[in-house]
Amino acid sequence: MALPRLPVAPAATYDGRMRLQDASDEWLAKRAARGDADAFEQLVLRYQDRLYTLALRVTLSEPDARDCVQEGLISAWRAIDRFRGDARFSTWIYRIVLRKAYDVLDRRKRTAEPMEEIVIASSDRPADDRLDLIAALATLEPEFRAAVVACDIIGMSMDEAAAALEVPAGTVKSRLHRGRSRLAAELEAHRAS
Amino acid sequence: MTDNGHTDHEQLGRRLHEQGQAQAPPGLAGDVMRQVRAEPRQPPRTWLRPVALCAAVAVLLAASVAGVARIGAGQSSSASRSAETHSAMGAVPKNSLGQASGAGGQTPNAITQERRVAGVPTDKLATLSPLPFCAAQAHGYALRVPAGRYAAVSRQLQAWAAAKPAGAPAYDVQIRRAPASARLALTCP
Repeated sequence: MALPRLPVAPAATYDGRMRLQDASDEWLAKRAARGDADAFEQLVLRYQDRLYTLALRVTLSEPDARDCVQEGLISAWRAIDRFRGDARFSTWIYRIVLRKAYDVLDRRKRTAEPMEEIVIASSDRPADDRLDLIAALATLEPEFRAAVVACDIIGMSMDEAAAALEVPAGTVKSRLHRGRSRLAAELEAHRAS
Repeated sequence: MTDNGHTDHEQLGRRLHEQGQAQAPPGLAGDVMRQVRAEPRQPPRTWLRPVALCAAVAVLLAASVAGVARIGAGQSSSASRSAETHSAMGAVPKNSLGQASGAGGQTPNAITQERRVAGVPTDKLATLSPLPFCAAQAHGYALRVPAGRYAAVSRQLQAWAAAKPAGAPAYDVQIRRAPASARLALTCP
């Protein structure tokens, strides 16, 4: 059964009367490339939650996730004239933020930052088994976690996740499967204890 | 994977999708946009691209025309050189356009600064410079002549060619104008 998807931006094209809110991502990106900050703001508003979710679930840290999204969006603004439109804007911006998130993980590995305080985000309200699930997600290795987050939480297709994670689609599929299996085992173990 | 496992995975995926969402901190978009507006983008100069393209095409075209002109001049030279080689006197000079020069054929080629004299007797030629050893199939020599002596040497070679006894060993000589400081020397073509 297909997973419910997050609401995606309308694939409308601008006809001169359309509001920015109704314009497609690609049209807004083109406007932004010409210096239209309002068009870029529309993209920021449209994507900030998804990007924050992506960064938060990969980095497991609210301050790091905020930094990743902020830096990623600024990088996107600076580089948006290089967005050629041959891929979806969402894939492009996910990839930028994911790179920032991986940078955080690398830096953390190098400096051996403590993990205790970065597992659960304060925005995760304690509701029944929600904390268990998020805590179990945090136990996955970053590459498996990223695949699970991209496909299951964000709702990317296998191809989009492959493009965003910069790995082949087969690798995403395998990581997703193994990630879910480990997650299920972790939740089972948690329930049993 | 079993059906149960597959269903479990789907259920897990649904739970992740429902429970894994987070909301961006309230000030995030504002902070980003403040920074974005602080560094405005220069709108790309779209007119520059076609202009640059036109300029590149013009340069290429000019280069092609120049190249074709040079090749044309070279072919004309070859043609007239061939004609000279086959002429009895073998002393028809040429200019850069491959036309015979007006003043009795004495004007050297203005661009290539070369002329070819056919049938110069070997013994006479040897008085100018020692004959170098060239490949067996070479039927002639190149003669490098300092600029100041070009006309005189050219006339001399023509005279020798004109006076060549029948059957005497002879070579075709390509005369090349060299800087005034250069030494007169025969080389392989």
